Amino acid sequence: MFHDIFSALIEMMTVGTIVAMICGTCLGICLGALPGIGATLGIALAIPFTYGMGPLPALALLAGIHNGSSQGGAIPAILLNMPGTPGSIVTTWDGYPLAQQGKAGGAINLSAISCAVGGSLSALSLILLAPPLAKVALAFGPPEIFWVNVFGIATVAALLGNDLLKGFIAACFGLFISAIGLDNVSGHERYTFGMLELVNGVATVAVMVGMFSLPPAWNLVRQARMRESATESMGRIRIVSERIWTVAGVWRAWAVASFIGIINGILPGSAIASFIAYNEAKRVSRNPEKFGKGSIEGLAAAECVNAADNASALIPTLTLGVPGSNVAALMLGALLIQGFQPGPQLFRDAPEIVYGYSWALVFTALLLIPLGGALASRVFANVLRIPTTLLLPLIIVIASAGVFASQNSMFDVYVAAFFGLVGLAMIRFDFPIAPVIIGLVLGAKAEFNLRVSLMMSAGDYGILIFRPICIILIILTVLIVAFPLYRTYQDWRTRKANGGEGSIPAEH
Amino acid sequence: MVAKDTISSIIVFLFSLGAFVLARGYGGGAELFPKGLAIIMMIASAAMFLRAILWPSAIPEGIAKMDRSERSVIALCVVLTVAYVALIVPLGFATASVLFIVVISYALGMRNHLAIWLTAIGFVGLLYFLFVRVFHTPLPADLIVGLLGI
Repeated sequence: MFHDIFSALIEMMTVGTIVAMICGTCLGICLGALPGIGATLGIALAIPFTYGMGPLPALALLAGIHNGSSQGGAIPAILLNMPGTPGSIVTTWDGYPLAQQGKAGGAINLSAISCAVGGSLSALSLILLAPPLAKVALAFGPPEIFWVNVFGIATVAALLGNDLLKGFIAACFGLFISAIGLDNVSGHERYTFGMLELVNGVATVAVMVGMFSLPPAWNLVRQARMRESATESMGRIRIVSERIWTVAGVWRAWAVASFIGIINGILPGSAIASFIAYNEAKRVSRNPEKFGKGSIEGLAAAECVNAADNASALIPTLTLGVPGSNVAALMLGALLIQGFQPGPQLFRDAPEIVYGYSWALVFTALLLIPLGGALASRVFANVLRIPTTLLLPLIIVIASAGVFASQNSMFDVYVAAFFGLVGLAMIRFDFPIAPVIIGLVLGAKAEFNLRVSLMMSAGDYGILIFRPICIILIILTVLIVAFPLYRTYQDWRTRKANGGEGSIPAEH
Repeated sequence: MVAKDTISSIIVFLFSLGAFVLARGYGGGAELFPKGLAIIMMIASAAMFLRAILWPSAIPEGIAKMDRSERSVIALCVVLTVAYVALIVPLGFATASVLFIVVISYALGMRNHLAIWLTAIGFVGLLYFLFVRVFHTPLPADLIVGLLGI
């Protein structure tokens, strides 16, 4: 294992990979700084560009975007009191008061270093925790792999939204899309309606780009007025890079936030991780009264936890092939495009890819110190001045070019536009989008393993139920589904007690 | 919220029913997975419908409702995007993209002519260069780029 880890480190040291990491990190910071964009849209737009690249530079670029956008979200949060990403909401609580005290540069600098600490610790956890888990997963047969996929889909459907039913319908819709085309066991065509372009199935990239980039781009116009009036105040903020923190003052916040971020990354539903980390950092702080008024520790905890779940969220993706978040689902798609099947066998068959990607996550987190600190406050903060009216068509043009170039097919562009419309309708009807993508990327694998299991047992469904690991996975799936049901019941009781008030806000 | 869930549950039910009927025609085990999914979706959509009718207070709160002006501006963006995608083949990628950026910027109220035209031509030019020259990936053949012989 250690030989593979160090061999991958040497393989990463090429000019192409280093340039990809720097470009990806800069791009990620800029995208994260633009409210409404962030890592998911950035990675969805970048994936088609990686077709022509080697696997390591491609993954290095995406790792840079992933880590960069975590820190980029802090720029508008600190300068404009406007979170660039959902995780940056907590950053505004102490970041904006610091900017008002004339410490904007120092606050951005601290946010970059906190992200670097959280991101690199998270990547190290991926390097250390993933291989043993992959070793266990290698012993899984088709019935266990089928249940792992069901567990992954159920987890995302149940935890990445606030409505279990809608989450399940969205996941089933994704599984349906994966069933379009030639059945790879019997050779029957399914749902192709005589269209030759659908025989090989619907292009995953087209669906991903369509659903993750078009609806957010169209919705950008909703926040245009708010953002443009906030940007006007930017000229009045003095950005001076001065050191406003000491390691002794923030190490407790970093330790607590990194631990919470890593654990929350492994388990989906990490939208609340920043709130938990902020509260815990306040609890262990020697100056809890400063929280919310420009606390250095509060800002350090908020930014550290944002990056600490980046790499750890990929542990289930790389070891079991089960993504637990939007970005993890996109990364799974990116690996498939490069010809690698995520799962335990990847650690055996292509260790240089898994560990190379893990190293890219370490290095791009560390790159945040020079790129996300002084440079972000002087240069990247200016991306906030780009008018939304110009940003919207640029995103759509990049998405169209990327989707076309992925397979030289105009049909894929039409598919992306169609799924963009479907995504917009889903958002309007409060359906989550992430389960669709996860259903799509896991669908073929889940179906294949179900069919192989039934062939192994000559059609006896008992093979799916009476094996020890299957039983454990079934119990875990039931628990995952029962948890939101219990939460809904509690919420309903609270609302009833409050006379209809006090519901949970939607998360998309 | 109730209306949203009622309408969407009916749409999902009809979609699943259609998928189930179509799957009945597939043989060799190919029907197993889609039929199973269709049944799960029909049950979930029926549960959603019943929840909306009998227990509306159990519906979790969704996203904030858009006002009429927001709806119309998003509808405009969607229509222009569909038109752009439809024009890529007849006009080519570069021409259609420049036109799209210019038209949507003016339609959304931007009036800085220099910024609009410079961004449109510069950005599309850069993208074209990146794909065609750097990644060696062709983009849909273009009317103007073809005439210029680039």
